[in-house]
Amino acid sequence: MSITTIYLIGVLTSCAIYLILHRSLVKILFGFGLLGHTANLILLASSGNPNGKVAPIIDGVSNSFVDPIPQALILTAIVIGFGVTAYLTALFYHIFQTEKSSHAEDIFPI
Amino acid sequence: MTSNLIVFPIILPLITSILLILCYKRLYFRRYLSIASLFLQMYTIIVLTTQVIKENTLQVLYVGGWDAPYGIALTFDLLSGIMTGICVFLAIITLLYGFGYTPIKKEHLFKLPLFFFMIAGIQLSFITGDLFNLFVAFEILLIASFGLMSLESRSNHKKYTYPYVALNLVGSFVFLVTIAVTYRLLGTLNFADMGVRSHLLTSDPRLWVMGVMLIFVFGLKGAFFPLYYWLPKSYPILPTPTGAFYAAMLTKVGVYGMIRLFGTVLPHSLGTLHTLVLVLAIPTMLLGILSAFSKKSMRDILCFNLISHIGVIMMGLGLFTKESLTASLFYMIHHMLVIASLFLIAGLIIKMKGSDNIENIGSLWKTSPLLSGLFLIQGLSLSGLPPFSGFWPTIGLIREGLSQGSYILVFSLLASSLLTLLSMVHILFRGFWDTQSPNVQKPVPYFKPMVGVAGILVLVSLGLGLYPEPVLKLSHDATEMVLNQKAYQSQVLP
Amino acid sequence: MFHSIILYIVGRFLFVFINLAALYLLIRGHNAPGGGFIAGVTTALSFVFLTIISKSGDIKKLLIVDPIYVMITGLSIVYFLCLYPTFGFKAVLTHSQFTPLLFDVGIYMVVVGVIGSVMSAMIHNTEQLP
Repeated sequence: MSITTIYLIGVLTSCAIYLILHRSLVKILFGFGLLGHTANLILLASSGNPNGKVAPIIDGVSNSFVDPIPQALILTAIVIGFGVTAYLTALFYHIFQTEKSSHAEDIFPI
Repeated sequence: MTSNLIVFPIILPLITSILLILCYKRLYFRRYLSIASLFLQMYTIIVLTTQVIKENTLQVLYVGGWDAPYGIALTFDLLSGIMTGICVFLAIITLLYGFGYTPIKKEHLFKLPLFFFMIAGIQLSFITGDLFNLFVAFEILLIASFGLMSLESRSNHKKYTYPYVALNLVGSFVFLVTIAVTYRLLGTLNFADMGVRSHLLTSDPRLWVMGVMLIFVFGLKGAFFPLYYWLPKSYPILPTPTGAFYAAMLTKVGVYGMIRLFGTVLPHSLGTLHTLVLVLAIPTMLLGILSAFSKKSMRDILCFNLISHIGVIMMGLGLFTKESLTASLFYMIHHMLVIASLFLIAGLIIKMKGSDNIENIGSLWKTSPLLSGLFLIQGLSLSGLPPFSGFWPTIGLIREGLSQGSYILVFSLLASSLLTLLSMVHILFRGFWDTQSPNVQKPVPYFKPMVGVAGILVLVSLGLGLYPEPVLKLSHDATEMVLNQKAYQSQVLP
Repeated sequence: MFHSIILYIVGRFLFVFINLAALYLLIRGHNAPGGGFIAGVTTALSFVFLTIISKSGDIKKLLIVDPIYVMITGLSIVYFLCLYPTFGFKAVLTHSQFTPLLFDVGIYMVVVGVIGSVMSAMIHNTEQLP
């Protein structure tokens, strides 16, 4: 389980970085979204191996729970990532309107 | 010691911002409201700080009644008091100045609310005692500052917000990864509890990794050496009142994080991390100021100066003795006041001459001697010449560096001081004393009280230089409080 | 933007059910998985869905109040509940019997307001986007 998470984190991070370094603004936007999800996955991985544990809801039957703190942290991180994505969308839309292009090399000429 | 007063520096700006959105039609009322709210906030901070000084203990608040290692603890010590107080003071000054700078009809509806959200984020980051809450505070102030930056900058400059946004988003990502690493390693995110547990792991290399990641995060916010190139691109696009506040406060949040991290959280025996900061300090000091000479605009020059002086603060942090930290803290206080006032003076010059390009200003000495005098004082103060406020921390840092035997550091500190002086003299010669260039515009009348507002800031920093004793003692006490980990842990953990 | 009559008719029915699900999530959040943020996102998604399937002018009629006011009302509820315990000399954000549900309602309104205002700002001429 844990090793799968690590592979997934690696794949997602590399995809996110590839997208962020792309020319098109839309792909950069997706890249930052993906980067946020990767961070959430890393936070989730910090709660340890969940094998044989249940969700942290007290039901009187099971007594081995996964650590709820990382999940609370992820929830906060998701909310913040949501706000950032909304802001980035608006910024890119404005840049597209003023520059009439969505290519980074037209917008930031060297 | 539980007191709900701690939460007021955070909640007051939040409440003010929604009130400001609600009464969007009463333009003058909004301005009075924002200033009144800032003064109220100042009052709570003064009450809290005097309480801290009188009892010589932290003020702690367990949010929601959950005890320390489990819930979020807000802690208010002397360092928080100093930082929050200066933040509110600069907010008052820059807002008052901004009211004169922008005509009331042209002020964007969401400028003031976003400014107050940003203040709430800054205050939360100074007051919180929890690593994840610090992340949340950083995000609040970042999102508000993104919004303010793209709202305030000119339409064709808005694209330069992107480097700032992108770098800070990467910083947030690394911060989240660091939080995951910390949680896995120490099992807690509370500063006091982190301190207790990291003392058991002092020889563990994973603690070192955690420290380096945190230095990266705070270094990105505070514009340390390899990570500073977003700053001179993004700050000059702001109008000067907001730019002054950004330059004075936002980088210092990162530096504050470093002081808190090294002083309160991590064990003091981690010498490798301190050496890393010292190694980064040298290029930050020198490269920042050398780049200033290639620039023509006053705000660009000031931004590069800002980077160089972050390096000076880092030097005191890396030497990590009580005296060097005191000098660093004093330097930070001095630098916040001086850089803000220099930005405000640059703004006045833009108002008068239509540009802050030093080639186009010319002979400002004749047209406005008062402004030139203010600039002269602050420019000399920035480079650390004797009667002004920059002198005392610089001399403290030099003495501490010599007694530690790190001559390269002292040399680069002196070099950066000299180069700062040169760049200030460069501005003075070209902009103030040179004969007027032909393509200059006619002086435009501006709102006279703005000079007064900038003058208040200059007077405060002049007073800091002529009578440094109280602030020196305050920063000494604050440093002692930050370094006393045992007391912090016993007061936060019940 | 494309316009399909079948999708429009079905979508109007779905709009109601999505919001019922959001209400369920909101009330359930007191003790079980769910809560203000999830419910708010669900409601906001129903609005986005309606925007996509209907003609661009129609959504204006649906927004009876400015979403900013929804956000402000939510924020006011949240701030009030945050400061409410101070009158009883308890720590800030201490919750009693019914305050968590009210807090969730506040968060719900904030989320709906934010997404609504972002949407209403971006709804104009989306045809020319890349």
